[in-house]
Amino acid sequence: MTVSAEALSSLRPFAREVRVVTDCGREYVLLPGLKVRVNGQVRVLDGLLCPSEVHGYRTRLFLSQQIDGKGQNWKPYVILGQTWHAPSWQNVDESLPLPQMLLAHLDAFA
Amino acid sequence: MTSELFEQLHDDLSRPHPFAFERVAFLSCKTAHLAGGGTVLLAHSAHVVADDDYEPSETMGALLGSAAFRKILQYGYAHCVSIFHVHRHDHQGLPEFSKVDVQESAKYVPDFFKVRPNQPHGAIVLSHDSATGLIWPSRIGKPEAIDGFVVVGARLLEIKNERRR
Amino acid sequence: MSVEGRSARQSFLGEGSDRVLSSTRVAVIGLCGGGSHVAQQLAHVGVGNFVLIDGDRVEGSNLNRMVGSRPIHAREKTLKADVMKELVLAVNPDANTIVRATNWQDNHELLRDCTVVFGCVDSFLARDELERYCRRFLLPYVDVGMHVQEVPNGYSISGQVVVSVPGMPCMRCLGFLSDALVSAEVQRYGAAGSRPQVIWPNGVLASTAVGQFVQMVTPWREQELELYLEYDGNRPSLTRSRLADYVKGRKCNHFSSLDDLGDVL
Repeated sequence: MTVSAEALSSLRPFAREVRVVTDCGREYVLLPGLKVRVNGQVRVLDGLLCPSEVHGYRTRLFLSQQIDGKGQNWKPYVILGQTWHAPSWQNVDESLPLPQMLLAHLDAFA
Repeated sequence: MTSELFEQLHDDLSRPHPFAFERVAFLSCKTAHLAGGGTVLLAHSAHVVADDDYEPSETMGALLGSAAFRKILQYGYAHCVSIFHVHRHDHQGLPEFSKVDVQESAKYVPDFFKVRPNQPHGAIVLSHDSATGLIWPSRIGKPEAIDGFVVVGARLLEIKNERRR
Repeated sequence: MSVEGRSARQSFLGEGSDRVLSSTRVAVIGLCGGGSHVAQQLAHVGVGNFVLIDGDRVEGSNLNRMVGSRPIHAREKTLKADVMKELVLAVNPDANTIVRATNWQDNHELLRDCTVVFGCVDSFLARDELERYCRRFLLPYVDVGMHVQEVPNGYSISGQVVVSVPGMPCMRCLGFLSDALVSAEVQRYGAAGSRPQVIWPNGVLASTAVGQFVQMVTPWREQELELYLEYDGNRPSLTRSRLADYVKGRKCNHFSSLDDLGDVL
Protein backbone atom coordinates (compact mmCIF):
# COMPACT_ATOMS: atom_id res chain seq x y z
CA MET A 1 0.00 0.00 0.00
CA THR A 2 1.23 3.50 -0.71
CA VAL A 3 -0.14 6.37 1.29
CA SER A 4 -1.11 9.11 -1.15
CA ALA A 5 -0.17 12.73 -0.62
CA GLU A 6 -3.83 13.57 -0.32
CA ALA A 7 -4.40 10.93 2.36
CA LEU A 8 -1.33 12.14 4.20
CA SER A 9 -2.48 15.74 4.22
CA SER A 10 -5.81 14.66 5.71
CA LEU A 11 -3.89 13.75 8.87
CA ARG A 12 -2.22 17.13 9.27
CA PRO A 13 -4.78 18.46 11.77
CA PHE A 14 -3.85 15.65 14.15
CA ALA A 15 -0.09 16.13 14.49
CA ARG A 16 2.80 18.29 13.31
CA GLU A 17 5.00 17.27 10.36
CA VAL A 18 3.07 14.21 9.33
CA ARG A 19 5.10 12.02 6.97
CA VAL A 20 5.37 8.52 5.60
CA VAL A 21 8.27 6.37 6.75
CA THR A 22 9.08 2.80 5.78
CA ASP A 23 10.53 0.00 7.84
CA CYS A 24 11.61 -3.00 5.83
CA GLY A 25 9.03 -2.41 3.15
CA ARG A 26 6.14 -1.65 5.47
CA GLU A 27 4.73 1.90 5.40
CA TYR A 28 3.89 3.85 8.50
CA VAL A 29 2.60 7.36 8.98
CA LEU A 30 4.64 9.21 11.54
CA LEU A 31 2.56 11.50 13.74
CA PRO A 32 4.85 13.56 15.99
CA GLY A 33 3.04 15.54 18.65
CA LEU A 34 -0.18 13.54 18.34
CA LYS A 35 -2.85 14.76 20.71
CA VAL A 36 -4.46 11.86 22.54
CA ARG A 37 -7.51 12.49 24.68
CA VAL A 38 -7.42 10.40 27.87
CA ASN A 39 -10.20 10.80 30.43
CA GLY A 40 -11.02 14.22 29.10
CA GLN A 41 -7.44 15.46 29.20
CA VAL A 42 -5.10 15.84 26.27
CA ARG A 43 -1.75 14.09 26.25
CA VAL A 44 0.78 14.82 23.57
CA LEU A 45 2.73 11.82 22.34
CA ASP A 46 4.33 10.65 19.13
CA GLY A 47 2.27 8.22 17.11
CA LEU A 48 3.03 5.75 14.36
CA LEU A 49 0.07 4.58 12.32
CA CYS A 50 0.37 1.45 10.26
CA PRO A 51 -2.50 1.60 7.74
CA SER A 52 -2.02 -1.97 6.55
CA GLU A 53 -1.80 -5.42 8.10
CA VAL A 54 0.86 -5.80 10.78
CA HIS A 55 1.40 -8.47 13.46
CA GLY A 56 -1.97 -10.02 12.57
CA TYR A 57 -3.83 -6.73 13.06
CA ARG A 58 -5.60 -5.14 10.12
CA THR A 59 -4.16 -1.76 11.05
CA ARG A 60 -2.41 -0.55 14.17
CA LEU A 61 -1.48 2.61 16.06
CA PHE A 62 1.76 2.63 18.03
CA LEU A 63 2.57 5.30 20.60
CA SER A 64 5.84 6.58 22.02
CA GLN A 65 4.57 5.82 25.52
CA GLN A 66 2.16 3.39 27.09
CA ILE A 67 -1.00 4.98 28.48
CA ASP A 68 -1.57 3.51 31.91
CA GLY A 69 -5.13 2.49 32.70
CA LYS A 70 -6.21 2.41 29.08
CA GLY A 71 -6.04 -0.45 26.64
CA GLN A 72 -5.07 -4.02 27.39
CA ASN A 73 -2.05 -6.21 26.72
CA TRP A 74 0.33 -3.37 25.99
CA LYS A 75 3.54 -4.53 24.40
CA PRO A 76 6.69 -2.77 23.28
CA TYR A 77 7.83 -3.02 19.67
CA VAL A 78 10.97 -1.72 18.04
CA ILE A 79 10.13 -0.06 14.74
CA LEU A 80 12.47 2.22 12.82
CA GLY A 81 15.08 1.57 15.47
CA GLN A 82 12.97 3.03 18.25
CA THR A 83 10.66 1.63 20.93
CA TRP A 84 6.91 2.03 20.42
CA HIS A 85 4.00 0.74 22.44
CA ALA A 86 0.60 -0.60 21.42
CA PRO A 87 -2.31 -2.25 23.19
CA SER A 88 -4.38 -5.03 21.78
CA TRP A 89 -7.03 -3.17 19.77
CA GLN A 90 -8.51 -5.09 16.89
CA ASN A 91 -10.56 -4.67 13.79
CA VAL A 92 -9.82 -1.17 12.63
CA ASP A 93 -10.30 -1.70 8.93
CA GLU A 94 -7.64 -0.80 6.38
CA SER A 95 -10.31 0.54 4.03
CA LEU A 96 -11.16 3.45 6.33
CA PRO A 97 -9.97 6.91 5.36
CA LEU A 98 -6.88 7.69 7.42
CA PRO A 99 -8.53 10.26 9.74
CA GLN A 100 -11.32 7.81 10.60
CA MET A 101 -8.78 5.03 11.00
CA LEU A 102 -6.74 7.12 13.43
CA LEU A 103 -9.84 8.14 15.40
CA ALA A 104 -10.94 4.51 15.64
CA HIS A 105 -7.58 3.66 17.20
CA LEU A 106 -7.70 6.64 19.53
CA ASP A 107 -11.04 5.36 20.83
CA ALA A 108 -9.00 2.80 22.77
CA PHE A 109 -7.79 5.56 25.09
CA ALA A 110 -10.84 7.79 25.43
CA MET B 1 29.72 -2.34 6.18
CA THR B 2 28.78 -5.59 4.51
CA SER B 3 31.53 -7.73 3.05
CA GLU B 4 29.89 -7.33 -0.34
CA LEU B 5 30.27 -3.55 -0.13
CA PHE B 6 33.84 -3.86 1.16
CA GLU B 7 34.77 -6.07 -1.79
CA GLN B 8 33.01 -3.73 -4.20
CA LEU B 9 35.08 -0.84 -2.88
CA HIS B 10 38.35 -2.71 -3.21
CA ASP B 11 37.44 -3.96 -6.67
CA ASP B 12 36.75 -0.43 -7.82
CA LEU B 13 39.87 1.00 -6.24
CA SER B 14 41.94 -1.73 -7.90
CA ARG B 15 40.89 -0.83 -11.43
CA PRO B 16 43.60 0.93 -13.40
CA HIS B 17 42.93 4.45 -14.63
CA PRO B 18 44.30 5.88 -17.86
CA PHE B 19 46.32 8.56 -16.06
CA ALA B 20 45.49 8.73 -12.33
CA PHE B 21 47.84 6.73 -10.10
CA GLU B 22 45.10 5.84 -7.69
CA ARG B 23 41.34 5.83 -7.63
CA VAL B 24 38.89 7.46 -5.29
CA ALA B 25 35.40 6.41 -4.30
CA PHE B 26 32.75 7.74 -1.98
CA LEU B 27 30.86 5.83 0.67
CA SER B 28 27.38 6.93 1.71
CA CYS B 29 26.34 6.03 5.23
CA LYS B 30 23.46 6.26 7.59
CA THR B 31 24.15 6.85 11.26
CA ALA B 32 22.96 5.52 14.59
CA HIS B 33 23.75 6.57 18.12
CA LEU B 34 25.11 4.08 20.64
CA ALA B 35 23.86 3.38 24.15
CA GLY B 36 27.04 4.56 25.83
CA GLY B 37 27.49 7.60 23.62
CA GLY B 38 29.17 7.76 20.27
CA THR B 39 27.98 7.10 16.77
CA VAL B 40 28.09 4.13 14.48
CA LEU B 41 28.26 4.69 10.75
CA LEU B 42 26.32 2.16 8.67
CA ALA B 43 27.65 2.08 5.13
CA HIS B 44 25.04 1.65 2.44
CA SER B 45 26.55 2.31 -0.97
CA ALA B 46 29.86 2.77 -2.69
CA HIS B 47 29.89 5.49 -5.32
CA VAL B 48 32.36 4.97 -8.10
CA VAL B 49 34.04 7.99 -9.61
CA ALA B 50 33.79 7.74 -13.40
CA ASP B 51 37.03 7.72 -15.37
CA ASP B 52 36.13 11.01 -17.03
CA ASP B 53 35.69 12.73 -13.69
CA TYR B 54 39.39 12.60 -12.85
CA GLU B 55 41.75 15.40 -13.83
CA PRO B 56 45.43 15.03 -14.65
CA SER B 57 47.82 16.05 -11.91
CA GLU B 58 51.56 15.89 -11.58
CA THR B 59 51.52 16.31 -7.82
CA MET B 60 48.68 14.13 -6.66
CA GLY B 61 47.85 10.45 -7.09
CA ALA B 62 44.26 11.31 -7.93
CA LEU B 63 42.65 14.66 -8.60
CA LEU B 64 38.90 14.75 -8.87
CA GLY B 65 37.11 17.23 -11.06
CA SER B 66 34.08 19.22 -9.98
CA ALA B 67 31.71 16.75 -11.65
CA ALA B 68 32.76 13.99 -9.27
CA PHE B 69 31.94 16.12 -6.27
CA ARG B 70 28.75 17.46 -7.79
CA LYS B 71 27.39 13.95 -8.28
CA ILE B 72 28.06 12.80 -4.74
CA LEU B 73 26.77 16.04 -3.28
CA GLN B 74 23.56 15.63 -5.24
CA TYR B 75 23.20 12.12 -3.91
CA GLY B 76 23.91 13.24 -0.36
CA TYR B 77 21.30 15.98 -0.61
CA ALA B 78 18.65 13.69 -2.10
CA HIS B 79 19.14 10.84 0.34
CA CYS B 80 20.11 12.39 3.67
CA VAL B 81 23.33 10.44 4.12
CA SER B 82 26.80 10.97 5.51
CA ILE B 83 29.49 11.09 2.84
CA PHE B 84 32.98 9.65 3.16
CA HIS B 85 35.80 10.09 0.64
CA VAL B 86 37.68 6.82 0.26
CA HIS B 87 41.01 5.97 -1.28
CA ARG B 88 43.59 3.25 -0.75
CA HIS B 89 47.27 3.12 0.02
CA ASP B 90 49.11 0.32 -1.69
CA HIS B 91 50.41 -1.69 1.28
CA GLN B 92 49.37 -4.11 4.01
CA GLY B 93 48.78 -3.03 7.59
CA LEU B 94 47.20 -0.02 9.22
CA PRO B 95 47.28 2.97 6.83
CA GLU B 96 47.82 6.59 7.80
CA PHE B 97 46.53 9.83 6.42
CA SER B 98 49.41 11.51 4.62
CA LYS B 99 50.00 15.23 4.94
CA VAL B 100 48.38 15.70 1.53
CA ASP B 101 45.42 13.50 2.54
CA VAL B 102 44.81 15.67 5.59
CA GLN B 103 45.15 18.93 3.66
CA GLU B 104 42.86 17.82 0.87
CA SER B 105 40.19 16.37 3.15
CA ALA B 106 40.05 19.66 5.02
CA LYS B 107 39.09 21.25 1.68
CA TYR B 108 36.39 18.90 0.41
CA VAL B 109 34.73 17.66 3.61
CA PRO B 110 33.24 21.12 4.41
CA ASP B 111 31.41 20.89 1.09
CA PHE B 112 29.64 17.76 2.31
CA PHE B 113 28.18 19.82 5.14
CA LYS B 114 26.72 22.28 2.65
CA VAL B 115 24.24 19.67 1.44
CA ARG B 116 23.74 17.80 4.72
CA PRO B 117 24.77 20.07 7.59
CA ASN B 118 23.29 17.82 10.29
CA GLN B 119 25.12 14.66 9.27
CA PRO B 120 28.73 13.77 10.10
CA HIS B 121 31.07 13.37 7.13
CA GLY B 122 34.68 12.41 6.62
CA ALA B 123 37.36 10.46 4.88
CA ILE B 124 38.66 6.90 4.92
CA VAL B 125 41.98 5.50 3.85
CA LEU B 126 42.19 1.80 3.12
CA SER B 127 45.16 -0.46 2.78
CA HIS B 128 44.91 -3.93 1.30
CA ASP B 129 43.90 -5.39 4.66
CA SER B 130 43.11 -2.51 6.98
CA ALA B 131 41.54 0.91 7.25
CA THR B 132 41.67 4.19 9.07
CA GLY B 133 39.30 7.10 9.03
CA LEU B 134 38.53 10.60 10.16
CA ILE B 135 35.07 11.87 10.98
CA TRP B 136 33.93 15.45 11.23
CA PRO B 137 30.95 15.32 13.65
CA SER B 138 30.01 18.82 12.61
CA ARG B 139 31.11 21.52 10.26
CA ILE B 140 32.81 23.34 13.09
CA GLY B 141 35.64 21.72 14.95
CA LYS B 142 38.40 19.28 14.30
CA PRO B 143 38.02 15.79 12.90
CA GLU B 144 38.17 12.78 15.17
CA ALA B 145 39.67 9.40 14.44
CA ILE B 146 37.21 6.63 13.67
CA ASP B 147 37.58 3.99 16.41
CA GLY B 148 37.31 1.03 14.12
CA PHE B 149 35.64 -0.74 11.26
CA VAL B 150 33.60 -3.91 11.09
CA VAL B 151 33.09 -5.81 7.85
CA VAL B 152 30.02 -7.98 8.21
CA GLY B 153 29.75 -11.17 6.22
CA ALA B 154 30.15 -14.90 6.55
CA ARG B 155 33.46 -13.97 8.16
CA LEU B 156 33.47 -10.93 10.43
CA LEU B 157 36.46 -8.65 10.11
CA GLU B 158 37.06 -6.15 12.85
CA ILE B 159 39.67 -3.43 12.34
CA LYS B 160 40.44 -1.39 15.42
CA ASN B 161 42.27 1.90 15.50
CA GLU B 162 45.23 0.70 17.53
CA ARG B 163 46.67 4.19 17.59
CA ARG B 164 43.94 5.28 19.97
CA ARG B 165 45.02 2.74 22.59
CA MET C 1 42.70 -12.46 36.94
CA SER C 2 43.42 -14.61 33.91
CA VAL C 3 42.96 -18.33 33.82
CA GLU C 4 46.00 -20.09 32.51
CA GLY C 5 45.38 -22.79 29.98
CA ARG C 6 41.87 -21.80 28.91
CA SER C 7 42.95 -21.46 25.32
CA ALA C 8 45.39 -24.37 25.24
CA ARG C 9 42.96 -26.74 23.53
CA GLN C 10 41.49 -24.28 21.06
CA SER C 11 44.61 -22.82 19.48
CA PHE C 12 43.49 -24.53 16.26
CA LEU C 13 40.90 -21.76 15.94
CA GLY C 14 43.68 -19.60 14.61
CA GLU C 15 46.31 -17.11 15.60
CA GLY C 16 44.86 -14.33 17.64
CA SER C 17 41.54 -16.11 18.09
CA ASP C 18 41.67 -15.74 21.86
CA ARG C 19 42.12 -12.02 21.55
CA VAL C 20 39.30 -11.81 19.03
CA LEU C 21 36.93 -13.84 21.21
CA SER C 22 37.77 -11.91 24.36
CA SER C 23 37.15 -8.59 22.62
CA THR C 24 33.87 -9.73 21.07
CA ARG C 25 30.60 -8.51 22.52
CA VAL C 26 27.58 -10.77 22.12
CA ALA C 27 23.94 -10.23 23.03
CA VAL C 28 21.81 -13.18 24.07
CA ILE C 29 18.09 -12.41 24.00
CA GLY C 30 16.15 -15.05 25.90
CA LEU C 31 18.02 -16.95 28.59
CA CYS C 32 16.03 -20.10 29.16
CA GLY C 33 16.24 -23.32 27.19
CA GLY C 34 18.33 -22.22 24.23
CA GLY C 35 19.82 -19.00 25.53
CA SER C 36 21.24 -20.51 28.72
CA HIS C 37 23.18 -23.09 26.69
CA VAL C 38 24.39 -20.43 24.28
CA ALA C 39 25.59 -18.10 27.00
CA GLN C 40 27.35 -20.89 28.86
CA GLN C 41 29.21 -22.08 25.79
CA LEU C 42 30.16 -18.58 24.73
CA ALA C 43 31.66 -18.05 28.17
CA HIS C 44 33.62 -21.30 27.94
CA VAL C 45 34.99 -20.45 24.51
CA GLY C 46 36.27 -17.15 25.85
CA VAL C 47 33.86 -14.46 24.70
CA GLY C 48 34.69 -11.45 26.83
CA ASN C 49 31.62 -9.24 26.72
CA PHE C 50 27.99 -10.16 27.22
CA VAL C 51 24.67 -8.42 27.01
CA LEU C 52 22.18 -10.78 28.68
CA ILE C 53 18.51 -9.92 28.37
CA ASP C 54 15.48 -11.76 29.73
CA GLY C 55 12.64 -10.29 31.77
CA ASP C 56 11.48 -13.53 33.36
CA ARG C 57 12.12 -15.19 36.68
CA VAL C 58 13.03 -18.83 37.14
CA GLU C 59 10.09 -21.15 37.72
CA GLY C 60 10.01 -24.83 38.57
CA SER C 61 9.05 -25.68 35.00
CA ASN C 62 12.32 -24.17 33.76
CA LEU C 63 14.54 -26.51 35.78
CA ASN C 64 14.30 -29.29 33.22
CA ARG C 65 16.22 -27.29 30.63
CA MET C 66 17.66 -23.98 31.79
CA VAL C 67 21.39 -24.50 32.20
CA GLY C 68 22.58 -23.00 35.48
CA SER C 69 19.15 -23.02 37.09
CA ARG C 70 18.71 -24.72 40.45
CA PRO C 71 15.69 -25.40 42.71
CA ILE C 72 16.66 -22.49 44.96
CA HIS C 73 16.31 -20.16 41.97
CA ALA C 74 12.74 -21.38 41.44
CA ARG C 75 11.91 -21.07 45.13
CA GLU C 76 13.33 -17.55 45.29
CA LYS C 77 12.06 -16.60 41.82
CA THR C 78 15.50 -15.41 40.83
CA LEU C 79 15.76 -13.39 37.66
CA LYS C 80 16.96 -15.54 34.78
CA ALA C 81 19.33 -12.77 33.76
CA ASP C 82 20.98 -12.91 37.19
CA VAL C 83 21.31 -16.69 37.03
CA MET C 84 23.09 -16.43 33.70
CA LYS C 85 25.33 -13.61 34.82
CA GLU C 86 26.45 -15.77 37.73
CA LEU C 87 27.08 -18.71 35.43
CA VAL C 88 28.99 -16.69 32.83
CA LEU C 89 31.22 -15.14 35.47
CA ALA C 90 31.81 -18.50 37.14
CA VAL C 91 33.11 -19.81 33.82
CA ASN C 92 34.94 -16.65 32.76
CA PRO C 93 35.59 -14.26 35.66
CA ASP C 94 37.19 -11.79 33.25
CA ALA C 95 33.99 -11.38 31.24
CA ASN C 96 32.13 -8.08 31.26
CA THR C 97 28.40 -8.58 31.63
CA ILE C 98 25.56 -6.17 31.06
CA VAL C 99 22.35 -7.66 32.39
CA ARG C 100 18.83 -6.45 31.78
CA ALA C 101 15.79 -8.16 33.30
CA THR C 102 13.37 -6.52 30.90
CA ASN C 103 12.11 -6.76 27.36
CA TRP C 104 14.94 -6.27 24.88
CA GLN C 105 12.78 -3.61 23.22
CA ASP C 106 13.25 -1.38 26.25
CA ASN C 107 17.04 -1.77 26.01
CA HIS C 108 17.55 -2.23 22.30
CA GLU C 109 20.37 0.29 22.04
CA LEU C 110 22.60 -2.11 23.96
CA LEU C 111 22.57 -4.37 20.93
CA ARG C 112 23.98 -1.79 18.58
CA ASP C 113 27.63 -2.27 19.33
CA CYS C 114 27.49 -6.01 19.68
CA THR C 115 29.41 -8.23 17.30
CA VAL C 116 26.63 -10.80 17.05
CA VAL C 117 23.12 -11.04 18.47
CA PHE C 118 21.72 -14.42 19.46
CA GLY C 119 17.92 -14.70 19.48
CA CYS C 120 16.65 -17.50 21.69
CA VAL C 121 13.05 -16.39 21.73
CA ASP C 122 9.85 -18.32 21.40
CA SER C 123 7.72 -16.70 18.72
CA PHE C 124 7.93 -15.83 15.05
CA LEU C 125 6.94 -12.27 15.89
CA ALA C 126 9.87 -11.94 18.29
CA ARG C 127 12.25 -13.37 15.72
CA ASP C 128 10.94 -11.09 13.01
CA GLU C 129 11.35 -8.04 15.19
CA LEU C 130 14.87 -8.99 16.26
CA GLU C 131 16.00 -9.68 12.74
CA ARG C 132 14.59 -6.39 11.46
CA TYR C 133 16.45 -4.56 14.18
CA CYS C 134 19.68 -6.39 13.51
CA ARG C 135 19.44 -5.69 9.80
CA ARG C 136 18.83 -2.01 10.48
CA PHE C 137 22.08 -1.78 12.45
CA LEU C 138 24.10 -4.26 10.36
CA LEU C 139 24.31 -6.82 13.14
CA PRO C 140 24.66 -10.53 12.37
CA TYR C 141 21.77 -12.40 13.98
CA VAL C 142 21.80 -16.05 15.00
CA ASP C 143 18.38 -17.55 15.69
CA VAL C 144 17.96 -20.66 17.79
CA GLY C 145 14.69 -22.40 18.44
CA MET C 146 13.05 -25.75 19.06
CA HIS C 147 9.51 -27.00 18.86
CA VAL C 148 7.70 -30.07 20.22
CA GLN C 149 4.48 -30.97 18.47
CA GLU C 150 1.99 -33.71 19.01
CA VAL C 151 1.63 -35.88 15.91
CA PRO C 152 -0.60 -38.93 15.27
CA ASN C 153 1.97 -41.46 16.51
CA GLY C 154 3.44 -39.45 19.35
CA TYR C 155 5.55 -36.32 19.37
CA SER C 156 7.83 -34.61 16.93
CA ILE C 157 10.84 -32.59 18.02
CA SER C 158 12.20 -30.07 15.56
CA GLY C 159 14.25 -26.92 15.58
CA GLN C 160 16.54 -24.62 13.68
CA VAL C 161 19.66 -22.53 13.69
CA VAL C 162 19.38 -19.65 11.24
CA VAL C 163 22.21 -17.22 10.65
CA SER C 164 21.02 -13.91 9.22
CA VAL C 165 23.94 -11.79 8.05
CA PRO C 166 23.33 -8.33 6.53
CA GLY C 167 23.88 -8.51 2.81
CA MET C 168 23.11 -12.22 2.74
CA PRO C 169 19.70 -13.97 2.60
CA CYS C 170 17.44 -13.16 5.53
CA MET C 171 14.97 -15.41 7.34
CA ARG C 172 12.29 -14.48 4.79
CA CYS C 173 14.59 -15.24 1.88
CA LEU C 174 15.36 -18.59 3.49
CA GLY C 175 11.66 -19.40 3.81
CA PHE C 176 11.79 -19.66 7.57
CA LEU C 177 9.73 -16.57 8.30
CA SER C 178 6.80 -14.86 6.58
CA ASP C 179 4.07 -12.31 7.32
CA ALA C 180 1.53 -15.14 7.18
CA LEU C 181 3.33 -17.11 9.90
CA VAL C 182 3.55 -14.07 12.15
CA SER C 183 -0.11 -13.20 11.60
CA ALA C 184 -1.29 -16.75 12.23
CA GLU C 185 0.76 -16.89 15.41
CA VAL C 186 -0.74 -13.64 16.69
CA GLN C 187 -4.23 -14.93 15.94
CA ARG C 188 -3.52 -18.02 18.03
CA TYR C 189 -2.36 -15.94 21.02
CA GLY C 190 -3.73 -17.38 24.23
CA ALA C 191 -4.57 -20.71 22.67
CA ALA C 192 -1.01 -22.08 22.71
CA GLY C 193 -0.76 -22.97 26.39
CA SER C 194 2.50 -24.13 27.92
CA ARG C 195 4.66 -25.53 25.19
CA PRO C 196 6.67 -28.67 25.83
CA GLN C 197 10.43 -28.10 25.95
CA VAL C 198 13.34 -30.36 26.84
CA ILE C 199 17.08 -29.86 27.28
CA TRP C 200 18.80 -32.04 24.75
CA PRO C 201 17.48 -30.49 21.52
CA ASN C 202 18.34 -27.09 22.95
CA GLY C 203 21.82 -28.39 23.60
CA VAL C 204 22.27 -29.57 20.03
CA LEU C 205 20.94 -26.34 18.58
CA ALA C 206 22.81 -24.04 20.94
CA SER C 207 26.08 -25.87 20.34
CA THR C 208 25.55 -25.56 16.61
CA ALA C 209 24.78 -21.87 16.91
CA VAL C 210 27.93 -21.24 18.93
CA GLY C 211 29.92 -23.17 16.33
CA GLN C 212 28.50 -20.94 13.62
CA PHE C 213 29.49 -17.88 15.62
CA VAL C 214 33.03 -19.16 16.14
CA GLN C 215 33.31 -19.81 12.43
CA MET C 216 32.32 -16.21 11.76
CA VAL C 217 34.86 -14.64 14.09
CA THR C 218 37.86 -16.97 13.84
CA PRO C 219 39.66 -18.32 10.80
CA TRP C 220 39.58 -22.01 11.71
CA ARG C 221 37.08 -23.14 9.11
CA GLU C 222 37.15 -22.01 5.51
CA GLN C 223 34.00 -23.77 4.40
CA GLU C 224 30.85 -21.89 3.52
CA LEU C 225 28.76 -20.66 6.43
CA GLU C 226 25.54 -22.63 6.67
CA LEU C 227 22.71 -20.15 6.95
CA TYR C 228 19.82 -22.47 7.80
CA LEU C 229 20.18 -25.77 9.61
CA GLU C 230 17.10 -27.82 10.42
CA TYR C 231 16.98 -30.16 13.37
CA ASP C 232 14.93 -33.34 13.37
CA GLY C 233 14.89 -34.54 16.95
CA ASN C 234 13.24 -37.84 16.12
CA ARG C 235 15.85 -39.15 13.69
CA PRO C 236 17.98 -37.35 15.14
CA SER C 237 19.71 -35.20 12.57
CA LEU C 238 20.83 -31.69 11.74
CA THR C 239 20.77 -30.93 8.05
CA ARG C 240 21.17 -27.97 5.75
CA SER C 241 17.81 -26.64 4.64
CA ARG C 242 17.22 -27.21 0.96
CA LEU C 243 15.64 -23.79 0.80
CA ALA C 244 18.99 -22.30 1.70
CA ASP C 245 20.53 -23.88 -1.38
CA TYR C 246 17.99 -22.17 -3.61
CA VAL C 247 18.80 -18.71 -2.38
CA LYS C 248 22.54 -19.12 -2.03
CA GLY C 249 24.38 -16.14 -3.44
CA ARG C 250 21.22 -14.14 -3.95
CA LYS C 251 20.96 -10.65 -2.62
CA CYS C 252 18.29 -10.01 -0.01
CA ASN C 253 15.59 -7.66 -1.24
CA HIS C 254 13.77 -7.41 2.06
CA PHE C 255 16.20 -5.01 3.68
CA SER C 256 17.88 -3.24 0.83
CA SER C 257 16.42 0.25 1.11
CA LEU C 258 18.34 3.18 2.55
CA ASP C 259 15.33 3.75 4.81
CA ASP C 260 16.00 0.41 6.43
CA LEU C 261 19.35 1.52 7.82
CA GLY C 262 20.24 3.42 10.97
CA ASP C 263 18.30 5.88 13.07
CA VAL C 264 15.36 7.29 11.19
CA LEU C 265 13.74 9.59 13.69
